[in-house]
Amino acid sequence: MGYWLNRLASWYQRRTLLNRPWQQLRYVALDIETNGLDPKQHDILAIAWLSINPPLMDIGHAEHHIFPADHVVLGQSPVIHGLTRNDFTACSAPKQVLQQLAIDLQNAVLVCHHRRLDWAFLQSAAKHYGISLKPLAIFDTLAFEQQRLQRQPQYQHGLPPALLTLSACRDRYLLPQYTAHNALDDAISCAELFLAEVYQAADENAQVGQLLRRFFN
Amino acid sequence: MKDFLQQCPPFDQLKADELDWAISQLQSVYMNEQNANEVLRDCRPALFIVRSGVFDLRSQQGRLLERLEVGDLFGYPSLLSGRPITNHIATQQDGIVYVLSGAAFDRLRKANRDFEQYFIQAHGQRLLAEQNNKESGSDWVNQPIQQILQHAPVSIPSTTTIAAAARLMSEQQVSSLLVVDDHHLVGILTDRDIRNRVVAKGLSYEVAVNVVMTPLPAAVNARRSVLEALTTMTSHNVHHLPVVDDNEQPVGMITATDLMRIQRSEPVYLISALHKAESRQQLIAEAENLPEYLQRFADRVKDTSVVGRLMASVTDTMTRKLIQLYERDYGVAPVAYHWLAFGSQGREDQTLSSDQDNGLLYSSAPTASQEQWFAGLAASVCEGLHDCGIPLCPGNIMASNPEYRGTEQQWLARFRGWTESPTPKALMYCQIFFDSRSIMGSGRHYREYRQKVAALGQQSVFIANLAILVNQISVPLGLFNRLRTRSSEQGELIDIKRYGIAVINDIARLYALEAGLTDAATPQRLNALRGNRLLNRQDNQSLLDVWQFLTQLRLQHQLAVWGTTQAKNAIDPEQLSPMMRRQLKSAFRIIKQAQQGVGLKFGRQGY
Repeated sequence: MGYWLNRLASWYQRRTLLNRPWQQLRYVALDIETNGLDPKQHDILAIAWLSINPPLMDIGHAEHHIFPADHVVLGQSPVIHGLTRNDFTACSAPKQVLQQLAIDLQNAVLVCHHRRLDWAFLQSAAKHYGISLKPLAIFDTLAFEQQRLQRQPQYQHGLPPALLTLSACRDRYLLPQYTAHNALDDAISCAELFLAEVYQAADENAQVGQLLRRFFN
Repeated sequence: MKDFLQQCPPFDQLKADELDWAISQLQSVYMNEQNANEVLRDCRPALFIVRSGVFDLRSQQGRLLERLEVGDLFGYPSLLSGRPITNHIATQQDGIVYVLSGAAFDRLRKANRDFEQYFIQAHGQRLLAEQNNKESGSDWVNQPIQQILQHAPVSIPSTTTIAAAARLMSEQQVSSLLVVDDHHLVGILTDRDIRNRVVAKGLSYEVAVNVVMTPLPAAVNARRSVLEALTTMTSHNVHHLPVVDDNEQPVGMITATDLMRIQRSEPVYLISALHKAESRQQLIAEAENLPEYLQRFADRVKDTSVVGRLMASVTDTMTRKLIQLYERDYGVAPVAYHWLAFGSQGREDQTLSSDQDNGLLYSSAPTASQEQWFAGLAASVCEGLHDCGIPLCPGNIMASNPEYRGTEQQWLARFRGWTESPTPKALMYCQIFFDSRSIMGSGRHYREYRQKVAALGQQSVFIANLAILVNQISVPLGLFNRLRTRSSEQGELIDIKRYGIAVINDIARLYALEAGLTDAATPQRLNALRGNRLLNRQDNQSLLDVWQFLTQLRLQHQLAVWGTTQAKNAIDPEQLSPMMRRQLKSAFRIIKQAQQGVGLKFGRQGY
């Protein structure tokens, strides 16, 4: 009984939050780097996320973590090509990182560019450590663009995938080009793209629920 | 982000650990029309750093203070002074803006002196910009005369006796009196007149003042500038100058002493030295000092449009002097005439490298032999100006060319030809000849003529064609608002006269033609256009600001390259400070918008 009441309470809470004007919610923009495309075989190498309280992005407190290439070898400094000293100090135990992420995702909407891949990796890793990640909802900046572009007459018969990369999407919103591509830069890029997309598509009082229904059904 | 801040002054001054710390304190915001002012309000006190997008910082009154784009900072005046933010942001293009909290900013500026110094300086400049905007024209030579008038006019009718006049002067402690009949100025009487023409001559004190006064003295309009009063005084060699209002009614008197009291500058000496020259050689010798005078003068004034006007004043004085010298040798003019200045001298925005554009307007047609006198005058004056450093006009638009000497009918016929069949060449002429002033000759005839010219300029097909022409000038802004330079032997340059100042002159002229104005100077035109239904106040002010910015930039450049072979109007944007470069971009963007504006407003009826 208690279990179902809790479920009901959290369902209700979630619905209430999603019915607020979209600017009043907190979002977490996230990006991961992996060594492959299959969550069953491949691992997360790095993960970065930051909170967005529209229109503010808390880039100063962004989380950026490098996972040891081999999850077992901890305590030793693994040498990974192209990482700075700061990255090494941030090199952390995946379990603690995912626990922190779980906390940050509470009552927040997860934002990523291509949710299918990112979310699959996240769930697989979380399951491995017995952690549950429960964002209010997931907003996919790629799917958003795909939906938006497909409504335009010239793309009704197909949409070149090149138009949907993070940098191509950002170009369309006149966002700056960033040269480096690590998980942190991409998480920030994704956060900026998210705000640009929503500010330009939605009216001032739009609710998150509406946005998600409109663009992700 | 780090790469970006490392290149963004003053963050480039921070040590590595300071920069890392600063980054850890940053927030970022997607700023747009919807949220910009909310963000400004909610985040303050904070320093804002533009990462992308374009935002206009406007004062409470809506005046454009600064156009902010990538790398620009704002919010610091409030941070440094603690006063609330009164300016607001108008978003031109959405973008990303970094926000550094006031607390973090304070810590950084305590930790790093260079960082702090940058803001103290920038704050000073912003204050200056705001100040300049507020009181543009506060330079003393630029003030209207009415602002320095000390007391109400002390006047007497011309039938007053000399004894009564002297008593009044003594009571009022003035050295001169205005002689006024029926509200009109008929003369002035100075203590010197009494000394020289009465006492020294043993004249009775009971004689009426009209016998000894200086009749029909030179006068100046109260709305004109102190500089103009100075020029008039020196060119007529008088120490007392009556001031009249628009209805030619006397409102006061200014004296050389008044000017001495407020003057701290050399233009007086320069102009009077030119005037005192006894011969052509002396005049030319004095003129050689011109660049140096200008340099010293330019260092001191805030509003550099004064310098352009000073230059025009100097050219006016030289012209008058050359005419006088000619008249001394060849007798007075056989028919009444006006010496006209066109182009930059007409607009009073001359520079050290401007060439002459001038002509003659006859009050009645001279006979063939009388015309010889004028041909001689024109040749003498144009060559004289050339020797004084004002180059001959390469297009031969000079009084020495018989084409540009004519009666009112001839001039009007010429204007009519241009306005009724606006060929490209005709349009080019119009850009020169509509900017005219009379340099020598008596007032009324010219004014009537000038109004007839203005009436001809109001034809819409003509204006439309001018607008199309203005629109064809390609403002040097490329894709993504980059400055577009042209390669030359001296590097990658931008001609700020041709693509900047001249375009604003063209735009101001268009609105002025449409409104039938007779002013020639661009600031005066814009000023007269305040409240015009086609040009809103904000755009008007922006154009004026940009015009002043570019003329200042050009002047600094010209003074720097004076005497070298470097281009006089083209600058290398790479040589500018980042701040100036940003301002230059903003300037061109505003010009581009204004250009498109005239295209839309006037260009439709052209063919």
